[in-house]
Amino acid sequence: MRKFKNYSLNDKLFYGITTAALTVVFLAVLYPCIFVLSASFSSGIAVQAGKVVLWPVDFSLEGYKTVFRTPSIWLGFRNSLFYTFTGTALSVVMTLTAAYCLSRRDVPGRNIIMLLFTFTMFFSGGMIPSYLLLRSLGMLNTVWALIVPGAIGVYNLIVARTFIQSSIPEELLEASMMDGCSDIMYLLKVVLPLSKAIIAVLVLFYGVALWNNYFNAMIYLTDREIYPLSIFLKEILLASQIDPSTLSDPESATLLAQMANVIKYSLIVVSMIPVLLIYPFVQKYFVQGVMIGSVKG
Amino acid sequence: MKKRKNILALLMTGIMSISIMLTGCGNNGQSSQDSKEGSSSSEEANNSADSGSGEEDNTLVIALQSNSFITDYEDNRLTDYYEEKLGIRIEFILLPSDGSELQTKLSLMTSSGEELPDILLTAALKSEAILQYGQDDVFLPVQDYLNNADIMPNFNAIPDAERTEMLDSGTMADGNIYSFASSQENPWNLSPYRYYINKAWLDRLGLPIPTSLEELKEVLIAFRDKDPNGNGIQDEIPVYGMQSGTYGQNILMAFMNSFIFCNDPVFSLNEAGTEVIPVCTTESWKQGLLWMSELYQEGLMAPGIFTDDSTQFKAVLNAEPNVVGLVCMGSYGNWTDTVNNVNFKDMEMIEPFTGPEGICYTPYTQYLSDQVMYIFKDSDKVDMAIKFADENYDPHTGLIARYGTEEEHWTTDPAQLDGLTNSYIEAGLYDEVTMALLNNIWSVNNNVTWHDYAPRYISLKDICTLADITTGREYDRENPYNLMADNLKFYNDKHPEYTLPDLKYTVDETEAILDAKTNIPVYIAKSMAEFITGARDLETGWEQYLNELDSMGLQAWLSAAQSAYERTGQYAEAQK
Amino acid sequence: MAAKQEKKNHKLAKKIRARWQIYLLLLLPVAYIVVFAYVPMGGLVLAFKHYRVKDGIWGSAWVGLENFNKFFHSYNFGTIIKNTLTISFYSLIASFPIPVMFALLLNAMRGKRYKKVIQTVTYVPHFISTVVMVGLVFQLLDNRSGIYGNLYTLFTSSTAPSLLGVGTNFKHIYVWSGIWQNLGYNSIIYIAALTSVDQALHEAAEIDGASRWQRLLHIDFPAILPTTSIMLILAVGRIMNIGYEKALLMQNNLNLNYSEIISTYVYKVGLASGINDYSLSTAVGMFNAVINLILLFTANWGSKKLSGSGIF
Repeated sequence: MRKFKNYSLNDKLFYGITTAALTVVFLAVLYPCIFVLSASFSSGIAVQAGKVVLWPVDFSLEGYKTVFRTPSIWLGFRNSLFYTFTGTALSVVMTLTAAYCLSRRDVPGRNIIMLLFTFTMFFSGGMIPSYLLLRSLGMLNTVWALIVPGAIGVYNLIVARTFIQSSIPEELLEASMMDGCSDIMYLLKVVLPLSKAIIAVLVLFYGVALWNNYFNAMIYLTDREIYPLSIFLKEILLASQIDPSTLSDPESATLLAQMANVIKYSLIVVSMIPVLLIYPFVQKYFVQGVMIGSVKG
Repeated sequence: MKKRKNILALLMTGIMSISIMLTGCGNNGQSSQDSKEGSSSSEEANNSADSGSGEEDNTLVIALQSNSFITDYEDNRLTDYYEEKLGIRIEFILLPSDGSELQTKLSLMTSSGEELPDILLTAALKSEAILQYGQDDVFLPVQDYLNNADIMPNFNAIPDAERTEMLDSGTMADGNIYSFASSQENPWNLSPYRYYINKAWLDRLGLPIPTSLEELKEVLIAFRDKDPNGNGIQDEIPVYGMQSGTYGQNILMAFMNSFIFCNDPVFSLNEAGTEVIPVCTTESWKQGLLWMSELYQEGLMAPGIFTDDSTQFKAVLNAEPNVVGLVCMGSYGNWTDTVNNVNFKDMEMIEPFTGPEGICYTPYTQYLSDQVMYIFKDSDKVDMAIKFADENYDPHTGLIARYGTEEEHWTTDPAQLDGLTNSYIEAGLYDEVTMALLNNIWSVNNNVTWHDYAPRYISLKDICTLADITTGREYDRENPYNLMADNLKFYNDKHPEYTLPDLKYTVDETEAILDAKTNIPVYIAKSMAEFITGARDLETGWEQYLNELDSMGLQAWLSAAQSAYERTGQYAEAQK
Repeated sequence: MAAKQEKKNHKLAKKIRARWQIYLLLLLPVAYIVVFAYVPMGGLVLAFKHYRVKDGIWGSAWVGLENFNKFFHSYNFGTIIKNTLTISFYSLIASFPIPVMFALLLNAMRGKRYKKVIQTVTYVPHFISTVVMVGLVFQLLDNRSGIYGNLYTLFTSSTAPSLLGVGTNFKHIYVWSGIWQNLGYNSIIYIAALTSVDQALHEAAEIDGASRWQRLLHIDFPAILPTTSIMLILAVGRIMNIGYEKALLMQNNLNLNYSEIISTYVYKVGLASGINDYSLSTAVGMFNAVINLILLFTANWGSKKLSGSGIF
């Protein structure tokens, strides 16, 4: 990289403005992150009274202690990791395969198949028939109920297809075909290595979705042993959101709510740890030039 | 080469799984159509198998609304207690702790035709849902069991008045009872619109506690102008509240009761208790709005009342220095850590204000027991389920299920009760403490109870003669937890003889008034906010407001409400 | 003619046979979508039925278009549609381009480490729950204790007017808080797309004396244009899908004329009826889906005309 002083005035100005603008965005977005972190380390009383503005008030580990004292937390963590890993692997393989096939312009009928996929983005039968389907497939209350039904996200499929289409030059395909490369070999030898960035994106998108998956777990599972973390977290959080008017004993509900408000922020932090940890690994593939270099090499 | 083999293997498994899926799909196409038949025949098979094995099968399957404080339901003292006492084995299906999610899951279970559990324990179902499930043959009507003292001796041992209330509150519009009730009347919750005034400010300004709206206004003006918190800034909020609050924080409703009685902004009863009236269209309602809008125009009422949520509400109450002059709420817990809260020390709970016409009411809700247990109609263990329900009405079982283990979490031992007292007893309303809570299990992780999701009867006297020493503090007059008796004196009788009970609509009525029921309460709340803040002019906008209500179907709802009311026991009584 | 047609068919068959591996690979994904999306799609009939638990999906009575009529004739239908469209179009116009610009600028920025820090931090708020985020927005915009109130008082030395009580502010607060929360997450796809830019192009352009800004416009932006236009088409196809949660949390009685949208209204109908009305929600979902589908096809057609890239 060149030294800054060697840039033209024009470029200096550009870099200056860019850095300044991004710094503003950075600070604006940093604020909620710090707030949540500070609130999670403050006493429940201070949080409830709205005294936390930027830094922790009455430093306390009360929230974290409560979260980690809940025995089901670790079970949930373990299960969620399992769902996230296996689900992401399955989804990425399925999505990428489909995306590659549908990116090939020389496949008759690909637009019809694409339409078949796209249509499902808009129309779905809803909760009851899906539940009936999973029941007849014997997937209810099994780990498959969380992994299989979301295996292909059509949105992700379209994104991946676009990426492959626009970033891998057609000439590569022609050249490989000349060398006698089959369609499957082309996928493995050429497309995969060139798609690291989009694979990283898919891993991230699916991983995050699976990690946070709540609704499917809620409706398809009843066995606590296989609950993901999100369910346990929601259970703890819920106590703070009980509508007192629906109970005959609102006074005790209010007392509960005080307890739960204490741990609300710690829960967010705890559940965010894995998605934060995975990000640098994903980010590694977002470096410009990775891809063309590999084509040449 | 090796790679290629791997691919082949992968493809093979792929194709195999497709074929599995496709066959699965083929089956499904049919099964969803005749799943009803399929499952019912399999259920029959089950039934015959059950009857074949005779009395050996003593398993009761309970679908239960879960709670995060309960760490284990299987290895649970209450579960063990039931199993031992009733000679049964309990199996659980745990349902979400969130009420609306529970309903979603319940509707999936019932519509998929799968085998249902024997009983359901939850407080999340509204009467419309109960009736619907009852009429759809999902729940079993249980009034014949409830009214039979041989089958349900414990339930029938409950004093007549309370038992009648429990039966009434469970009776749906079709005349059936599909549920078992939990009755734990607590006077504290019946009149939650309790005013707290800043006594410290009053003292500083040398003003007496206001008793009428007229006096109140003078006090509020002084609060506004005389810097009672002494920080040199005009930051005082003379009147504060939260319109969206659901437990007494909506101060607009509290004020409105100095003009006309209403515990619901839509309907109320006439004085004779024979007729439902749309309280939101009355002249008194308009006068109330007018008075409040004057208050608002003079800067005595905070705009935050209309926009704040519970987080902001608490933040304002707990601000330093105290900025609130008058506020209204059900739970003093809004002042965090109430006992030590400096702002709370400034405040004093006072009686409702008398309006210009001499009216002095507070929103008061008739006690209504919760519907908490249901038996599924397809269950083949109805007798066992009934036995389970009745066991919960046993007074001793009730205490165990609600408060935990005797001598560990609570006691009735006279030696230990000696010297204990509470707010009601101090106020001379009751003679002596009958029970003491020793250790709190309500808001800590435990495997001792099911967090109170079961039928129950705990009498008013039991609740009012309870001494709570879980915090290690004994009764002390300064402790805010002891406002209970004042509430009873200040608020519990400030209502007309007849108040509107909970109305149970038929399925057809519910459907006919659905639009009105969705829109009208929202529209009234919105209009209140607009009229008071001056966003809409009261004089010119009132007619249009009335017309709008009519066009939303107020009249149809009114007549449905009238017929629903005429089905209640109270109507018959008022007729006499 | 017939011979020609036959020859054509023959050619097509040959083409298909040549790509047998592709079809083989597609078998699993297509089977998946058929089983998990098309099989349950039969449930859409609920929109034309009166669903009763007792009768199940197939046994429930047909009611024709009654559910749709119920929805179209609901009180204030016009306002609800207007609010929904206002918020969604505003949201599209404001929150679509910003992540693209953000990605381009971030990509052009100097300082690798700072760049990574910014990227990571902007990604975080996406994971903060809506309840907490809305609470935070309220806290900041409070006219007495919030940053807004304090700044206002500082400059004008009087109490700030309430922002949250003014109905017309709703859409701004809704959209911009969304951008605040999701900017980083939504830019990830563009950051990934920028990896395909050929560095050699940059080097060449630099030698030719192109400024960084020019290179951004003429090298970086065209490189992500296909991705951008697809993302735009997809965003247009989601116009009607505004969830109820955030809007409901931000509603109050003074902004209701501007904040009641389709999803919050359906949610309230459900609350009032005390039991889930699957028929109505299926009908409303279908109504939204049809509009979305039409918009998506329109956008796709437009994009193909303009830039040559589209979904089909």
